[in-house]
Amino acid sequence: MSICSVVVHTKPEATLKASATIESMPHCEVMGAESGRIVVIIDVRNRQKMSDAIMALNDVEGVVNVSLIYEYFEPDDELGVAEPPAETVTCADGGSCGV
Amino acid sequence: MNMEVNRRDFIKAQAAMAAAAVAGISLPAVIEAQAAQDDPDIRWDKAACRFCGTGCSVLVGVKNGRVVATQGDPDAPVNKGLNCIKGYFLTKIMYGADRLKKPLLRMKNGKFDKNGQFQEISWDEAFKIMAEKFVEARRKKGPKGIGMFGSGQWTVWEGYAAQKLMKAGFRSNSLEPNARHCMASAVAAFIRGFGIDEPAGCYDDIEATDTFVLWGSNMAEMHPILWSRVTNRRLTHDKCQVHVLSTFRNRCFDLADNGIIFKPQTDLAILNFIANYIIEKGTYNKEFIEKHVNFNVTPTDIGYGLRANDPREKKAKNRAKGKLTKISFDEYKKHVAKYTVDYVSELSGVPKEQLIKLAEVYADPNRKVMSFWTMGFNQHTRGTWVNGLVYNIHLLMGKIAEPGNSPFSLTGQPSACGTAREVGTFTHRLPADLVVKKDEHCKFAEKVWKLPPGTIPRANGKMDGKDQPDISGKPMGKTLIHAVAMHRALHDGVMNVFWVMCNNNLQAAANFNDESWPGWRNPENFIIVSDPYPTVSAIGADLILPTAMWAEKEGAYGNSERRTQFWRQQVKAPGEARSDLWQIVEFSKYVKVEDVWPAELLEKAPEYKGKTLFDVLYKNGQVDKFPYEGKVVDERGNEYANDESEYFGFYIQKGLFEEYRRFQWEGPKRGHEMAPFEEYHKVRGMRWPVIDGKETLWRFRAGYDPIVRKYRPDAKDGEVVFYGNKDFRANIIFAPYEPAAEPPDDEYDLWLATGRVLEHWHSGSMTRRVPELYRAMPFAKVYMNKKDARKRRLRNGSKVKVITRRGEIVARVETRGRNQPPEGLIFIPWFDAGRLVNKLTLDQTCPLSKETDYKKCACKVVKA
Repeated sequence: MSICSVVVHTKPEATLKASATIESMPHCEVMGAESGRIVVIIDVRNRQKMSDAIMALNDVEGVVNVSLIYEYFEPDDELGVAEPPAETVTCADGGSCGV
Repeated sequence: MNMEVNRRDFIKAQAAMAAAAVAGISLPAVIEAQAAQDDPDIRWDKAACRFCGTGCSVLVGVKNGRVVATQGDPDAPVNKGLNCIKGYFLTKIMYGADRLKKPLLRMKNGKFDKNGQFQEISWDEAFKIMAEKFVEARRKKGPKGIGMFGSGQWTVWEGYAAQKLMKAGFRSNSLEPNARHCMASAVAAFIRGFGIDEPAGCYDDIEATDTFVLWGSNMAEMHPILWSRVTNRRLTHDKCQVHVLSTFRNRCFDLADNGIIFKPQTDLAILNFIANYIIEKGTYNKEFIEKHVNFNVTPTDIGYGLRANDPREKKAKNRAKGKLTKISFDEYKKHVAKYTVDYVSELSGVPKEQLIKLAEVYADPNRKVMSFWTMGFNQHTRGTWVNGLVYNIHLLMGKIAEPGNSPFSLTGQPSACGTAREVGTFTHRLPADLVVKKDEHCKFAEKVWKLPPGTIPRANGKMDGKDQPDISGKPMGKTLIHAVAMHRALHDGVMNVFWVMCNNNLQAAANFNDESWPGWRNPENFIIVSDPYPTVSAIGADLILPTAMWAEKEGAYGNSERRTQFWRQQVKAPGEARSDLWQIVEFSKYVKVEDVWPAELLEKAPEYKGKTLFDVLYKNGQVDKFPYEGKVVDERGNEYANDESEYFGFYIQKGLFEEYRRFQWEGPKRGHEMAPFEEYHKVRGMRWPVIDGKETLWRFRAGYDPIVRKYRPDAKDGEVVFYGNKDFRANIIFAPYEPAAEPPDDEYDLWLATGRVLEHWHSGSMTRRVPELYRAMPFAKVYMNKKDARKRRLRNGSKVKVITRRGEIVARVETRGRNQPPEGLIFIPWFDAGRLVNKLTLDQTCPLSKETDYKKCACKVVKA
């Protein structure tokens, strides 16, 4: 289970439009909006999709700032296991250093 | 209505309520009702964020020994319930799959071998070989034969324990923090200008100012929470303006009323132009400068901090000189007169109207200004100068040390201030702004530490004018060595043992190919790296020590605004990982005083004969003074572990902190006072000086700062006293524009600037292990102007080779990204271990602060 909440700050005149855009985005639910501020819940099990959803909020027109407020995460399936970076660190002398 | 909700709805309601409270939005009653139920399985407590210098507080929810939830702390004055994306994923940094859990030594045939493979060993074996190497190098090569490279991410007590181990235990000043790479120029300018470190103002200035000016600081990405406060002020205060200066367009420009792109290095000229504009206009604050300011010049043509045999150093007339000469206001006026709008516009490439619009906000006596800067200023071969130049324009107007008028140096690390600067884990410093250059400061430290006079090496190796004896029988000689010089000393075999803790210096230091890598792999050298993860530094080392991090230990950090914050240990570290504090203190048991002190010194304290450094430094009746009751209990009755105190048998964090406080309260320099240990566990931090339990928001002004009346009992409310300097005055220091060390030429025709991105923190050791952040920004890209790309027949996504005189890397071009360089400059972030940008950079420093300039060297880009 992976759930988070976000406050999206917008230019005041852009709040309504941005709110509608966000509501139509995958995994996002607008819980409330007032001039310049939108409360969004993102509920998606796949953590990469979670990341994409959060980052996508930055690109919505009129958005000036995205602040994350609350996060809950329980590793309830294989997607929850933290992975190392896809590209592991390579040793500067060509990989003879043994890790 | 059915109040029974499933767990998912309950958590969603909790999340929504937290966000709504921060945003000031009301939600439907049903959600409020759902959220009102509590989850008894989760234990909540506060902790200071592990990342940048902002110092946000987060609430950490632990269930079954694991962190499952986090929330921006609504009671924290810094972040008021908000988190940035890094802070949000904060707790996941502890759960990367490749956490180190056992000490690892390079071995062949069961023995240490520099070219061997890493094999698991015990902590006992690790400390034995370390002690052997440390003692041997210390004997053979003197105080500079060993080195320790710590961190602005160390907790306060870790830095303090390291300070004691190196300076008093090993009698070596070869202790530096990675903060040398990020804050040294800011420190040098504070000391030169004010005689005391750290800003006069605080974050409360944000809500009190009319103007924000960002000088080389991409706050939108690097300090997102402060940026949200700036954004809020800009959108809610009619008069508010935002000016952004950078060598390339970044996200801050979206909010800018005046977005200025200038040619690298010409910030020096722009600042002098503003001073000239203020004087020409005649709006400077005559009363303020007569009463509170000295005018000075600094020596010019000071070189670039390169090796002495570099032609640029040989040519410099006043290499690394910084002694100030007093001048009159009229002389100062003549110095800045050259910086007219025409000259500076031509030099910097900034349109005249933009320069004037910027100068006007400083020159208008009725407009409050807050100037912010970070690495654009600090990582600069004239970093000390350029920091000073911004103080010049604030001091000319008297716009300082009051709400809303605030030249404010931001830090990049969570405890660059609290640990590196305040504890003084630099080669030349001791706690609370004391320095090893001063005999009386060393003697004070020796008294507090119950050590014989002459234990701590003086900068010049002399006490009372006489040579300090060394274990080798020779005099100590000069003892200071800064971070960049440490890598050179490893390269040259002058330093043979190097312990890197809580940072990734092999990735972070400039000129990887010519200096860092040959130094680390020099067969004479033994390199130890303490880290939670197999970073570039760890795999470049000979011994890796697995390290407990952040909420796996009790900690304290000090942020950019002088705020000291504590947290309790929330969870256990995995495997045999141990905190830096445990490592430092436990290692000290493996070294005998006789191994590192000469008999002459030991004669002055015969009671220390046969003792270990642990007995002398930590079991000294002070650090071990406070008993540990087997658990830590908070005011709500929740219980926490404290693994270090459990192990050593006394409340070690408290003992170290209380001994450290003696420097603040009994030392020769006032103005750094902190509250007793327990107080910090109860509050969301306090800004020092803390006198009678009250924090200080604005320093140097009577009525705000109680220290003022310690020096001037009759000071009236509002009166300014710059008490860091003996004459109570601040220094305006003229410094001219001088060119960069390696500007582009016909062959290397582009500027290369390096830096950070929103998703990753510094070298990415932690954030690249959070899948969400990794995915958001997996690799470093080459941010390039479209026209520059077209000229080289490149397009967005093209694979290119970036080449400098020192090395090359391969990466992909980004012409449409969030950073948009002008023609003639590229930007590459440094988080990516697979694309080490420091193979390209030059190990140039500010000759005064010794901080590296990572923002300016010449490169070329070709299709790969």
